[in-house]
Order: sequence, then C-alpha cells, then structure tokens
Amino acid sequence: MNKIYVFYCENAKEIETANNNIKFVKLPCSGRLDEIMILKAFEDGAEGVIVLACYEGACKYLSGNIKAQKRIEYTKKILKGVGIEDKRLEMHYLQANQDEKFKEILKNFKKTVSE
Amino acid sequence: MVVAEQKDFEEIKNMVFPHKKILVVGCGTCVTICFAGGEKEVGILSALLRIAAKKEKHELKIVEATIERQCDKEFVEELKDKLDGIEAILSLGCGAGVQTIAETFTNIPIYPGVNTKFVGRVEEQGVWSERCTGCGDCLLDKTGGICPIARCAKSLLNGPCGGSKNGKCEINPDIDCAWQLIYDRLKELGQLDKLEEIIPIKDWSTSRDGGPRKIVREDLKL
Repeated sequence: MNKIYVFYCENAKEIETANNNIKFVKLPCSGRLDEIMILKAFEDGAEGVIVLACYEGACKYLSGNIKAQKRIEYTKKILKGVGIEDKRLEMHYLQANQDEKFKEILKNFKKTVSE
Repeated sequence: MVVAEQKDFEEIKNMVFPHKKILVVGCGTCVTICFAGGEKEVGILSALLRIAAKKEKHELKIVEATIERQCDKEFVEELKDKLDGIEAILSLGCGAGVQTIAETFTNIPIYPGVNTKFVGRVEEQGVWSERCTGCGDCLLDKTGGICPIARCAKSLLNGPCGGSKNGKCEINPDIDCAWQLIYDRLKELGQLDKLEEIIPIKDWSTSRDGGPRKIVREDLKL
C-alpha cells in the first residue's frame, strides 16, 4: 500500500522511482493539482499527501503554485469535515536541485503522519 | 444564472447515511458555473462521503452522474439506467432541479445537496452577487439598468433612503447603495430627469405574492 502520495511539479523536482510506501505523481505544473486528486489519494489509503511546487515567482506558468496553495487550503478545510487532520496535507516549495531538502521534508512528514 | 452554494457536509452526510447505495447527481448548467454542483463537485463530494463512510465503518456505495440540465425532465430521464439498487438520490442541482428529479422518480427519496441562493452574475472568479429576484414586472428601464428590488436592502422604488452613506448601504459597508448606483448611472446617461418620475407602488402579485408562477406558451406546446 502506498502510504504517502507526493504530487510534484515536474519543474520543481526530478522524477523519483516509486517505492512501496511512497507514490510519486508527476504534474506539468502544481497548478494542475485538483482537489479530487488529493481526495482520491486519501481514498486510496494514503496516510498523508505532500505537494511540491516551485518557489513563488519561479512558476513556469506564472501563478500555478499560487493556485495550488489556494486549492490546498480549501482541501484542508473539506478534509477536516471528514476527520482528516491538517497535518496530513503539506505543501512545500522546491527546485530541482534540492534533493537533500526533499529528503528532509519526507523524513519529517513521515514522522508527522505517524504521530 | 441561478447561484447556489453547497450545503454543510455534516448536513449532507446525515441525509444520506441512512442509505447504503445512493446516486449523486450534478447539473451541467448554472451550478456548474458557480462551482456548487457540477461534475467536479459531484466527484469531490462523493469522495468525501466515501472517506467519511469508511472512517465510520458505514457501508455506502455511490454512483456518480452529471446531466445537462436537472430542470428538464428530458435530461433527468437519462438517469433511469443508473437507478438499479439506488435507495436515495442526492441532487446538487438548484431547487428546480431537485424537484424535477422528485417529480420524475416518485418512488426514490431525493435530497438537496446545495442551497439555492439567488439569480445573479459572476463579479469576478469566485465571486457571485444577486441581480434579480424574479419579481415578474421588470422596471430596469426606469432605473438605468440597475435593479432596486434586488440590490436595495429595502427594495425601495424611490430611493435612496436615509441609510445611504458615501455610496454604501447602512446594512453593510461592503454593499453599494443601489440608489447611488442608479443615480450615477443615470447621470452618466444624461437621464437624471428619470428620477423626477415617481415609480408607483408595485403590484407584487406578479412576484411570489401571487403564488407559484407559471408561463404557458400555446404556440410552443406540442
């Protein structure tokens, strides 16, 4: 079972091979992210969802990361209604050469969702 | 268009959870445009209901569908094929849509998933505001195309009232005074003389006061 879903903008992160516990979903831009994608991940049994977007001002499509941020806030709100806590959905800004930062994010997130 | 807003999730859940298999129906017209009950909202709400059901260990199967117009029986009848084992229908259409489904499938309970708010327009992405109450006797010709019935808190026909301050309404500083808007518009059109004309007391029988309304066009009937 995939316990953590990582939705990532292809410009913010290099493709990562999926393993048993993490499912990577590549997006052309974080602005493509839809509430339903996150909900499907939780329906699929995800314990948490991470969204990786480009830094503010660095979006190839100008405002995709800002749109993603707003959708994530909305999704957190509706997830709360079904008893899924805020902490299970995180958004982080990243660029392709920050692999170490991603590893750190993942490590912390795994800890957060298992608490 | 008709503007609606999705009901509180808890309220929807309490309506549908007594059932084990439900049909969630969206409408492809007004409620799609105002993001309250289109195909996307059907998907989101269904996913949330499934997650909630799983968490509460409640058995719930959901069939999803979105039709072109719920206020048209011809389209509603398309749902017939999806009713196998359905115990209840949750409609994300406006009040007219919900009732058309209720009148079409009389043996299945139907629940409203949205609150129908008003006839309005899109001000900007994510913002809708009321423009028409459907009073049945339009007077926009007298008021520069701005409706005092829908946009004045008191529905004054000869405004403004004493509560108009700096162009805003006394009930809320975010709401424009409709009569200030009318004045500004008529001034721009060079038609301020229209304000000299007293609009007589309105015959509200053309509105809701006359009971449920109906239009019959013999020339169009088959």
